[in-house]
Amino acid sequence: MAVSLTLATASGALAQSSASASIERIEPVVLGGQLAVDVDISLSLNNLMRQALSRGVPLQFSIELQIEQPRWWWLNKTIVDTSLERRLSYNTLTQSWRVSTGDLAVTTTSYDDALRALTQVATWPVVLTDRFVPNQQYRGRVRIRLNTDQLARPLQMDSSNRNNWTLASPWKSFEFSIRRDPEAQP
Amino acid sequence: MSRRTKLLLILGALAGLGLFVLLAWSTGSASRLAQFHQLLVYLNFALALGLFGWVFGLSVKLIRQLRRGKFGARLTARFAVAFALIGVLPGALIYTVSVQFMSRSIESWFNVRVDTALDAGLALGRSALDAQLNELDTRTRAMLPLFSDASDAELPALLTQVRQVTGAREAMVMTSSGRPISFVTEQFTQLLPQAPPSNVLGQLRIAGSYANAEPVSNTALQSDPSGIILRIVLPLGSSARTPSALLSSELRWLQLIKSVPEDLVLNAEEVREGYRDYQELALSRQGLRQLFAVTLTLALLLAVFAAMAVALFLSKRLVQPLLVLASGTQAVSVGDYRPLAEPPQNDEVGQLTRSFNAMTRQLEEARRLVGMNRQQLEQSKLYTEGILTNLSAGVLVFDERFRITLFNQGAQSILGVDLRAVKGRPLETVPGALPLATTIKRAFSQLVATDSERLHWQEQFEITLPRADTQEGEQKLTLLARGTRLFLDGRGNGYVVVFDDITAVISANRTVAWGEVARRMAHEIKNPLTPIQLSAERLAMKLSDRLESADAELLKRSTNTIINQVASLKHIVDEFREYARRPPIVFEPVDLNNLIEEVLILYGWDPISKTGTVDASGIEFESQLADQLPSVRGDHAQLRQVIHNLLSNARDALQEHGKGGKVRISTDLIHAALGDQPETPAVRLIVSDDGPGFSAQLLQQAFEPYITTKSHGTGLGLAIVKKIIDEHSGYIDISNRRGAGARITILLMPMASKVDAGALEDDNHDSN
Repeated sequence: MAVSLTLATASGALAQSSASASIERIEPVVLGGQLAVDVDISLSLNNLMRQALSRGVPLQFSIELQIEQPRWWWLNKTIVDTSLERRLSYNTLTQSWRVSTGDLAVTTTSYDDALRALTQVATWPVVLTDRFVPNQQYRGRVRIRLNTDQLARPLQMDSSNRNNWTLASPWKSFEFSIRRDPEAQP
Repeated sequence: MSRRTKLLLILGALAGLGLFVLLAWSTGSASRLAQFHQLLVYLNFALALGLFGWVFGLSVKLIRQLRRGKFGARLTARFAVAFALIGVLPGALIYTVSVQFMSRSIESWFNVRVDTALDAGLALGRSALDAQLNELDTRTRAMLPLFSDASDAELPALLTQVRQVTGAREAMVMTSSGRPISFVTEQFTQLLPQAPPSNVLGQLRIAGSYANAEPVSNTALQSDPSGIILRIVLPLGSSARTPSALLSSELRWLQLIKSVPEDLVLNAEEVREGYRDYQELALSRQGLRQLFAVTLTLALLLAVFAAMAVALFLSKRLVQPLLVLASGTQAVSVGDYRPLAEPPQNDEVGQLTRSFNAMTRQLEEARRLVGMNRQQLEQSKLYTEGILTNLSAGVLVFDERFRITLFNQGAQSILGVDLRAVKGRPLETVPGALPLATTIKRAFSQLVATDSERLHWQEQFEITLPRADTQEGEQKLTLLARGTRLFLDGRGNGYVVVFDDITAVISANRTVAWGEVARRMAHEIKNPLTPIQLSAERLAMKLSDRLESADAELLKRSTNTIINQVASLKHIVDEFREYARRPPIVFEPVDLNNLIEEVLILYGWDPISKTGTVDASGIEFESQLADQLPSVRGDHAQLRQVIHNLLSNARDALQEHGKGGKVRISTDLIHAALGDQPETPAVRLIVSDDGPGFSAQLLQQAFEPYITTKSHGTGLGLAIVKKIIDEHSGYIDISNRRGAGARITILLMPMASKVDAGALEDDNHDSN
């Protein structure tokens, strides 16, 4: 009994709370003729991921966004299917954290700062608004997931550890419509 | 196996091999196929499963055939097991060794020394950076008092001095909010200083100073050539001014940015990346092992199943020609000599099949020859048996204890018994054959006893057989028998007796002998007769007057008796002479019908009405004479005597019988084929009566002289008839009618064409 208990606690300590992710808030805005979204994400990584990070192994996250036009007579029409790749890494030499989005990078000294930089997406330009019919309801959804394709090959193979390397938030959907702005009309 | 199956098999094998090669390739971390690795693993597993299914199916089939004891299954199984072992054992061995080797070597990568060495390397890099940072910090701090009283206008000169002393890339004085006040840089392209990042400002607010190494990515917007910079931010005038001044908004910071030497950065980065890769691998060592294990296991499974499948498949194909041969042998043993289909290969099995076919052909040929010989033998045996059956002579074959083993139809008809019942039993059991059996045994024992050089005995003897169809109830036969020992297989194990009924021959001999006797007798007797007659007449004439009436009467009676008897004797002698003498035959065309009518008139036949009259004793003559009967070649007078003798014999027979009856005489023309001659015409004369017919004894001896049933008569009538007909080259046959009565048939040659007739006459002249 005691043995099994200690085992349970040990394994619990190793895996800590299992990794979790969820989309907290989505705010679509129109900015300069472009649809942009603000996304707040709640993300916590498990010990294995943090261990890997602390040893300099970078993790890549994909924030995926899809926008569909509902069609009652057929499958919904997909208008936008895009993703934002963000890479979280720890520089063991300079002992600094780094979140890079494409060519842009943010360097932080603490893990929490880095996570915050990772999970707050501000005004992510998605698509030009003229793709949308004004005053029509559109449905969009967002999720974040750990992009295991970018992991090292053997890490991907490890089937016994696969669950520890799987992290994806449920889809969070949002609805919006583009108002025809009479003042904006020339 | 069809071409299509072959092609499919080859394609399948290539596809499987390709699949596996792709899998092996995809395990490399830099491979482009990496993303399909999982799919490839599954596909290979499916392939292995498919192979397993094939192997399983083939094995089940083979086992079922073994259970049923199907011909050739054992050989196939043995081959398959051997091949499978050859394929599986090395595969399993290599698999075990490589799995062991692999797991050991993977573990050996991740030992503690490598771990600590990498950690140490990283720490070394860090301490190098720290040393640089410390040096920069110390130097900067040493120059801080210069700034204490400096005005804003003096700042650029001071900053340049500081930059030169410390070797920094750029130096800047800024406000606490990060706004630059004065800025000096060694880079001429950079006109505006960059505000420090927000996290630096944040730390300044908390800690009051900042000293750190920062990585700069080459691709970042800051066009910084080096990878790492050292940033130091220190408060200015802390020592010179009052603390109240520090708290004012006029608080200023001095920021120095120095590039880390490039080689240091490069080396440190190398260490970092190595450390990262190592850690990555260390994290995934389980996965690595799994990856290799899965690949190796798949390789083993594929190899093993492929080997087994190929083993099963190949063994079947290898054994196939042998099975065909074996089944061919079985077929030959039950008599099926059809040739086997010869395999196209020119290997030993093909040669074997060809030789087997050649052997089968020879066998069949030999068997056909044997069959033909047997058939010929059977035919010749049948022929021999047929000859034996149709042989008129009787043949009897006995075993060494005189039991009948073989007989022929001739023996049965001569002995007048059915010998089929006594086959395998002694001849004595046949009724009436006891004398024959006794004679045969005696003759054989005599042959042995005399130790004769001759190989056979010959004896002529008479036996009496019971005959139901004759009046006497028995029949005398004269038999001529010859016997030899039967030698079969080089030892005497039986006896062969050939016998013939020579009664007719004896009779013919007698006829000839009697002719001679008669001629001599007639000659010898006739000579004294005339003197006897003359002497008696003279005695009567001379003495009748001198004697008394009584004596004269006696003399007269006696001499009359002598004369009469002499006359009678003369008549007899004449008849004998008639029989014995051969008067020359004068051949001429004779109208037989005419002749018959002439003779019939003598017997009270009416030539006008062509019917006979019934005489006192109730005898009637009846004639059926054929019209247009060709003339017969013969002697008129002798043929007349023949007819006369026959008619008189018939009449006498009927008279003796005393019941009366009919005598029929008929002629007709027939065509008979005698011997190998073509069919020739013949004139047939038949005389028959309703009388008692001939006895069996008489039938055999009727043509011999002095054989008669009549109370009076010389017994020469039929003998003379026979003689005449023989001289006419005719044929005479006597038999009994089916009902009752006798029947005599005579065949005579009709007159041939003119030429033939002339030739015949020439012959006659010659013979005369």
